[in-house]
Amino acid sequence: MRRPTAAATVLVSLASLTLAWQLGSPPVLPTASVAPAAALRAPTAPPASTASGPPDQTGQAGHVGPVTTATTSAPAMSTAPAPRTVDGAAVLTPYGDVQVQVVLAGNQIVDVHPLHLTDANQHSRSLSAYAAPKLRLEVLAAQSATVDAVSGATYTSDGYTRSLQAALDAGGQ
Amino acid sequence: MSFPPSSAVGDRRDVIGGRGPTRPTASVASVSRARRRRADALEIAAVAVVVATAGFFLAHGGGHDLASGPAAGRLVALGRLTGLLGTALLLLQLLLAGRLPWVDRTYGHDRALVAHRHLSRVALPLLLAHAGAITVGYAAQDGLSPLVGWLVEPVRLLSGAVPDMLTAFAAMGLLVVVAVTSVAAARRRLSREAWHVVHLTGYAAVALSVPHQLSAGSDIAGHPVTRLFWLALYIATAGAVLVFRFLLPLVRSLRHTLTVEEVVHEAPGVVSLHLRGRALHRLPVRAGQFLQWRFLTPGLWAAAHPWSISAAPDGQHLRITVRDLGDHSRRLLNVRPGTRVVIEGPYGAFTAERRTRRRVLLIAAGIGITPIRALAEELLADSDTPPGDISVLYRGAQMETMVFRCELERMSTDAGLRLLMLTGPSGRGSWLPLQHAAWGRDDDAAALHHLVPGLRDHDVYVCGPAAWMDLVESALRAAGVPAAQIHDERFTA
Repeated sequence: MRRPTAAATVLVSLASLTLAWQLGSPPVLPTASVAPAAALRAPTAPPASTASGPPDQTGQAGHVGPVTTATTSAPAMSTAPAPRTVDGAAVLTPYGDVQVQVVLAGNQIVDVHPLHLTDANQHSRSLSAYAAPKLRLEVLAAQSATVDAVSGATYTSDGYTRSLQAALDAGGQ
Repeated sequence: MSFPPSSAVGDRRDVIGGRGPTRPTASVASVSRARRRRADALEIAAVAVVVATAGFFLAHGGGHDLASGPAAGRLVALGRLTGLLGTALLLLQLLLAGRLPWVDRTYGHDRALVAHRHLSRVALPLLLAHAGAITVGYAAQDGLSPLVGWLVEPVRLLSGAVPDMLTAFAAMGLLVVVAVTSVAAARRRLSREAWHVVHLTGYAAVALSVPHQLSAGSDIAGHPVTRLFWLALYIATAGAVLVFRFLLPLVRSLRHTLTVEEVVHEAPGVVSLHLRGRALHRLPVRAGQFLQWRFLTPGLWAAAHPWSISAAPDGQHLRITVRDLGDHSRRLLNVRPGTRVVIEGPYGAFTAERRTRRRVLLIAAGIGITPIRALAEELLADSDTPPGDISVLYRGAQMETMVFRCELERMSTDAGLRLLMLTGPSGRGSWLPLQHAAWGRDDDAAALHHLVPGLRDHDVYVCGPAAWMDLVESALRAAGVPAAQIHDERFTA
């Protein structure tokens, strides 16, 4: 490849990859100046009542275990909040436990990590591997656990939002 | 200047008085520029495929999965990325070896295959890393230690609810077999035919890997744009391979119905096969190119062999000239007129299209004279070529065994070819006969300047044994010939 073409190709490639990384990355950490407008609005409705949840989910409550809070204490709202992690409850589903960990900065949801996802078989594992990143992006955009279920992965979605809600309830106090 | 009488034959009119530097004609230069533009376009397309693969992965949050979260999840993300990149490179490998006309005319068949081999050294490790990282990552998510998980997880994957895992495992196994049989040590022990049959199963390996990627691949399932990208890549690759690797050779073999017309003994152990076919003016073959020839006769039909045409095509006949190099080429000496011939090709970029200057020096050794002889004929046929612009430097052991001696001498007297036939033993580290090396004070570069006045202003085509070509090309570069003016084709595959 001729040198100018090679240089241009490398530049365009790097720019594209950076853009792709930005697209797939969580929103930037909030600073103190950001008004807590996007504060957590802990929903009272059970996640099973979301539009795409199957009707049989309503009766099947699923055992919600104890909530564990991370060691970092909730910081005062006036200073720049240090991010803290809160583990959600492990939610039982027919296809295995679902548990997530939320990273909070003040009242802002900074990130969600899955600690355990449905794994009863290979299919549910690949489904949850596909659903979890979508749910994470939805949660980060909505700044709440009230998000649409990923079609085809209703149990995973349900467990994910329940575990997340439990974590938010525990961490948002 | 005096040439030893035994080694130089032919017209040397322009040796006396030399010439000033010649400029390439406009058309010659623009063809060469077009080739470089084509190379740039192909390379940009290849880079774009790899960048798009990584870009889609990152855009779906893959970078985040890779950089944060629990170790097991990061391992799985690594497995996803290596699998995607490995597959993209594998498809590029198929395209490089798929006899695509654009690739062939731009890089030449030989260099495309070298790139194919280089890519395999990246693609295969990536795919092995993919299998390993996904297996250990899933095992860790199941709470198994890597040591146990490595053994247990494949069983769970295969017996799980995803049937596509079976084909994926088979694909990986096939690819490993293809790679192992292509390692130099294994190639020496395998016949070319056996290796080729094994190598063709690489197509099956790629096909078997498609289902698990589309169904289980979390980066593709549910992402319509990514899915479209991969489907397009697969369809384009499969289509190109099908058309150029299989259909086009079939159509050409059926259309031209080549048959052996005459077998001529040229020298001890060397025969020329004259072939006749229908509508050969429609076969886009040029001097310097080669085809894969398959003779439909007992003992020969199973293997196709690459041989250059040894005469410029005239639209009705083709000629190849073959030296007995053992196994199949020996049986060729006994091929009878009337034998049907199946072809693949023409392939190769060792043609006058590479030319950047008006003056051309063609250097050949041994049976390497075949494409050189055809090139000389085509270049001399151009009525714009002044006498003496085309030189042939032909290195052989002794005059009597040098093929095409009479034909070249006729080109010299009739068409103004500068013909230098050099014979006799070489000195150490030299490719020239001892008496020539002596004038260059043991320096091949100086001797070349002596033999070919205005050397730097020539395009130089080199064809011969690989070690000999290395010596010739280092002498040419030492003599100041720019690399862009040195053309060769190397057959090692």
